[in-house]
Amino acid sequence: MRSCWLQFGILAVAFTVFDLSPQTTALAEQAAQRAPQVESRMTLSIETFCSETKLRTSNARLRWSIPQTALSGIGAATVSAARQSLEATVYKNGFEKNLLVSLPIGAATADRPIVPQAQGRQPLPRAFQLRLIDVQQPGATAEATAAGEMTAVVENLEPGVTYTWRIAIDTPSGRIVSPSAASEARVCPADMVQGTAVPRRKK
Amino acid sequence: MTRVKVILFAGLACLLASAASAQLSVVVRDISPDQSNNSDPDGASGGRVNNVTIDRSNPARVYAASEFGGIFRSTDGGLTWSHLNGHVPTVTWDVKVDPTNSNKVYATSFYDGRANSRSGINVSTDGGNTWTHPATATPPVSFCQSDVRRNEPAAFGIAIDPANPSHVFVGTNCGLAISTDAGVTWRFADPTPTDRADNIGDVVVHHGGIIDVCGDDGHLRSTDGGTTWTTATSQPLQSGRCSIAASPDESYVLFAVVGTSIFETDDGGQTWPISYANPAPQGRIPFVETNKRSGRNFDLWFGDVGVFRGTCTTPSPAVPGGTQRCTASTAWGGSFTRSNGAHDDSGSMAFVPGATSNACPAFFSSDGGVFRNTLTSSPACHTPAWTQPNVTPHALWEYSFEGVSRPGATPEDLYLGNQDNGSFGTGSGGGATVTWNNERCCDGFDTAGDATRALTTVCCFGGRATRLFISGAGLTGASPEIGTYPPGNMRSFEELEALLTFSANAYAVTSTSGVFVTSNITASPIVWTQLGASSSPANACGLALSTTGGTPTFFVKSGGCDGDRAGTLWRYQGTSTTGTWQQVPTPAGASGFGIYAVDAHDPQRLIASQLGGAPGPHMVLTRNGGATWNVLSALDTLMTAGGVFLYQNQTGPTAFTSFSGYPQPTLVAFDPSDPDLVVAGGADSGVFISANGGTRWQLVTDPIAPGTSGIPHIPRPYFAHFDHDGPAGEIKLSLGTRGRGPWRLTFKKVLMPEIQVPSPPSFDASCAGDQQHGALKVCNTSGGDLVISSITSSNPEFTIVVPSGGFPVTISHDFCFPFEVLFTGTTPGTRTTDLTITSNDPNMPVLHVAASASVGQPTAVTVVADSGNFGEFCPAPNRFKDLAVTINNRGTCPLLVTALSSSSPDFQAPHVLTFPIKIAPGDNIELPVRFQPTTSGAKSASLSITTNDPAGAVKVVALSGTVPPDYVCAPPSFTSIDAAIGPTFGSARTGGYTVNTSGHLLRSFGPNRRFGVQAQAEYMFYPGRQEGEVDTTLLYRHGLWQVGVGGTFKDANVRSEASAGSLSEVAVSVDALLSTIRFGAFASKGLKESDVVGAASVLGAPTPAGQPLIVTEQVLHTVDAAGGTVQLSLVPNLWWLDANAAFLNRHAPGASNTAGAALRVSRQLLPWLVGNVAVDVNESFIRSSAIGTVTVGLSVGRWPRPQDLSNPANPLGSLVPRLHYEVFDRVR
Repeated sequence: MRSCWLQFGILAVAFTVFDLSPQTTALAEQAAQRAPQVESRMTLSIETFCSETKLRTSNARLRWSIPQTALSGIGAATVSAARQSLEATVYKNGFEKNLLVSLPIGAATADRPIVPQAQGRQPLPRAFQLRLIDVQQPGATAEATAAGEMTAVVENLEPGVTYTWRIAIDTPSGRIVSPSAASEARVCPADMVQGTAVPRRKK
Repeated sequence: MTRVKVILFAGLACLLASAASAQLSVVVRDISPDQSNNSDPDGASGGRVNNVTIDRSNPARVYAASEFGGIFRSTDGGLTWSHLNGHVPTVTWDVKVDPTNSNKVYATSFYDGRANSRSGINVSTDGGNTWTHPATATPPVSFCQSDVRRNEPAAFGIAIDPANPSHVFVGTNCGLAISTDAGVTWRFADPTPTDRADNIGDVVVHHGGIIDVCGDDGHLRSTDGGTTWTTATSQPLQSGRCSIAASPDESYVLFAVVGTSIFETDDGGQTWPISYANPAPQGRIPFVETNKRSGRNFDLWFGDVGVFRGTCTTPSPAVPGGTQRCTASTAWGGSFTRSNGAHDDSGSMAFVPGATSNACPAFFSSDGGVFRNTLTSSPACHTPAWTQPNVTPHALWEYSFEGVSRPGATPEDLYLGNQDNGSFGTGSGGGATVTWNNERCCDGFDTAGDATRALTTVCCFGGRATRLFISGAGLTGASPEIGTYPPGNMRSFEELEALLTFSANAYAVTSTSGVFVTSNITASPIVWTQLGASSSPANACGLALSTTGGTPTFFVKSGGCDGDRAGTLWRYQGTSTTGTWQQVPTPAGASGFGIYAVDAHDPQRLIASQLGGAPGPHMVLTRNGGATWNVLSALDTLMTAGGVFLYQNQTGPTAFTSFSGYPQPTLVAFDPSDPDLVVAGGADSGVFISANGGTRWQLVTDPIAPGTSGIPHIPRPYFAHFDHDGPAGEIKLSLGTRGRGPWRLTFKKVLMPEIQVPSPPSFDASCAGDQQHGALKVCNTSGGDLVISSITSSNPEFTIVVPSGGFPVTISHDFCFPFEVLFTGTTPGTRTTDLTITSNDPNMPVLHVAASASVGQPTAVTVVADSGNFGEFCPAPNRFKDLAVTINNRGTCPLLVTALSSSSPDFQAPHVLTFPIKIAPGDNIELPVRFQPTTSGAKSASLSITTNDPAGAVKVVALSGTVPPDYVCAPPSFTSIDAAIGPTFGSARTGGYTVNTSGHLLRSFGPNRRFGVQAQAEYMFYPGRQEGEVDTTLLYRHGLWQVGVGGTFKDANVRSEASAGSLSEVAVSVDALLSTIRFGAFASKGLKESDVVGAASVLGAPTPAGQPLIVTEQVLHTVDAAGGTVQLSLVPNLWWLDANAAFLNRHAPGASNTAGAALRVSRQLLPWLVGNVAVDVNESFIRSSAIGTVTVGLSVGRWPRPQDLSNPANPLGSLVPRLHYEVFDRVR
């Protein structure tokens, strides 16, 4: 497992989990001090689905867009140029309580996912063991004409758990977030034929 | 086990009254397997059961809530299960029985697709036979997180307070439903009232009424019956699908599973710091249960993929906090499922009721249905040994259903690919007893077969998860996995087909990489060829085939592989690799297709559900490959049961407890052997069969009230197979469903008629009372005889002439029958009726035809000159004024005038000898209206003309006129003859007395009689003088003022002179006529001023020219006058006074001007006789000194007097005095 994290460490540098234990209170307080501003012009939609390649694996596809007017307000020329991160919580009012995970939006593939990094020795709760496996950014034409839409695929959601998502953008003047959107992670059952086991993800 | 119902339907219950001749008589048989013969418990036959519960009062009675098949009940301790048809919602979650009342049963379900939903909470008071959805089990408006949650209700876990069983709590998609009267009434509580209510997945009530819930808001606790709630202060419970249980010993110790994670709180939920590793996570629907054991011990049962039992201990003393109560999950017993005789993927556990401790787990529900624990004694029973029932619930969820027809009635190869329960096959699918072989466990997907073999895909294996096996017919014999797979993965977990055979040994399959065919499935290796690789539709699924002339045409759907989302259709002709996939045109406006089918022998003929876009969902059919699609409106109507079900809902349950919404259509299929036969099905609305190629349909199941009709409801049919091997034309239609397993419908084809009314009957325009004939052409455009049993009209003005042969009337294929409709209008205007045609058309047993006819009407228009104003009219006997009133009929029917009347006798309507007066359309008549008033003043009246004009039976013409006052119509006529006598006085008088007489005449004329002419003649006698005078004056009066201009001629004979003389003058006057007095002013000027009345001559003094003769003439000369007059009343109507005074301008040489005056006092003696006394001075003849008269006189007749001053308009005569004159000498 350790080698696995090392392998992905170069890319997965900043997947952060907040307030998962009392030890993280300082970090939570730090986050609380920079209360984000909700950018209501941003849109975020969630589609949950079962992985077509991995049994019993629940995924979510997130689509979000930022209007050009909002982009100019945060000093970014295009949506892909903004410093974005995907935040998720599985708790009631989890964002307000800083019970969330956050990972930066960057280049990710199924083979090179962006994964969360546990704080201290605390293991990540199952619900936060997410993997960002795909990020699609708008093409050059879309960038030139509009803010465009971005898409990200998150893998390994905890089945049956209600996730609340939002996109956060760090700007020189502070942090803005999209309106949040909630969805229940799909249950992806698979009855294993006797003597066989669910294939494990390659390490 | 089989259950048979014979049904005869014309649609819904209301349609049963239709003529039966065109109806299919359908035998419905449940042919689900009763058990699995697979030794692996993950092969099973029950389908998923979410919850199972035992009736505490009658433990032999057990209930099961299945995933998609509704509620099942066993009355023999779980050995055999039967479906409870009375519970209408089919997607069920939980069921509980009142521990004190066997008849009281509670069940929860997900949205049932109804416009007026009956899902959510249902209550039975008769042990599950019948169910009600209480009205109060619907949340209040604006209470739920979204309005759709209220309209599309769903409910989850049920908890009954053990200490007070009438208190029932249900987690719903809109908060917690609470009943305190055993389910009769409900109220909804939102534990987080700062936002709207959302999902509560589970609830437990324990330790005297403490309520703990879990769901989208995490965990919340209420200790006051649900009024107030507390939640975690830190380390909260995560949100999501959940199960919750309480320690039997400590009220503050709770266990919950959310998602796949297990948590414990030891402080009543203030914190949830303890978690247990899930020994076998999957998250299908995990549960936690606690079971009291001996002493301080209890078991924590946890189910996910498997079932585990954890050992737990209550600390002593029992206080909040402390260490976790149960051992780590690594020490838990289990798994007690697959290796203990039960299917994996838990649902719930039910313990033997009534025991205070060590209750044995009696039942376990899972993806395989319900399993009984064969160990019934503690402690052995706590390591269960499960066994399947003799008859499991019939709730299989099928991913495929394939049939292969074989000669003979009984042999019929049927194949099922089931979610969770694996693959089933039978070779006796047509028999009374169907013997199934559950060849493989787990998740069965696609099946295809021919007379010698069957292909099935099954999941899940390590490596290639879904694999393809070849078995013998009926899934018998060896079943090797194929050796060579096409590229990509075999498709899985989809309702649409991915496997078919298109000729001997030849098969086609859609994988995740495209569509592949092989000509020999038995070859080794199998050669797979991709069809049209370069144009292959993305995400191809839903494989279908049509073969013409030996050439196969393959169809696939791109996307939406469960049939509930829009995708595009594609076709590929032949098996060449170089062909091109061509898209089937999508109906205009639609997003795409949901489900579809193609005629096995006509690739141009497809039937489908269109989804999305502006048109919304419709069932459509094309006969030209999609160039044009015809909407199957009759099938549309059945899909929603006429509006009972929504065609597309938003949050209806979809696979694996998702709530993504679904459209109704789930099934369409053509009968490969008979193009007339088509079957369709709706998720909630049942199964429909067409026997005329798709335009007419018959509902053959009962989605509305199967509990009372006894006719099964078959929800979510997805698959169909036709077989024609039955005796005497008997057709067997086998169906595969999601949630209710396989069914067989047996019927004989009955050609269905199709009623058409090309147009409503037409009628010529008519008038009320006229009778018109119209033809109602009723046609039959389909194969079966159309039997018209009755035609009725909602409007009695329209009547249907019963045909000579009476009803019913049979209309053969492609014939029309012209029914005669009579119309007798009674009321003008457009008359409409609803012609109701009752026939044996299966989709339109009652056809409503709107017909109309136009009834014309007369329209009276009245015209009258001068707006009906007769003007001024002075009445007189036999005098009247007529005005013509014109009545015109501008309508289309004769106008009848039936009465004429006037509201006033001053205006007289013409007398009509005989009514009515008939006026033809466009004609008019003139009616003279007479004005014959008798009194003065303004007159008005209404002339009422009564007609048959429906717009207003009585036309009213306003009439008016004016009768002027009497002074206009009968002005006073002043005429009098006066005579007077009296002495004279004055030294220069010409006699000692005077006698005079005069005549006076005054007449008014002109507008309002304001003008007048006054004429007078007078003769005066004095012994030395005589005068005659005539004067005429023209008068004009305006209000109080009167002016006059007149002339006077006088002849005077002064006897002292040689002859008489004549003079004339002109006079003007102005009078102010007040009500009791008049004043006047006048002036006169001589016109003929002088006349010589004598002469004398004398010789004058001699002059050189001679002695002149001096002639002196006596001249009669006018005296000009100016003065005033007055007339006033002395005694009203009796005495009055007239007086004048004048300044007299004399012309006699050396004479001084003088004055004159007259005064007369009059008394009315009789209305026509007045006596008077007068005195005047210098009134006529002016001498060097004043002379006058004093006279008394009589006046006969009438002359203006003060009482006449009330006359406001007529001239009242001038009081200008006589012409004054004088005599003097002058030298000529």
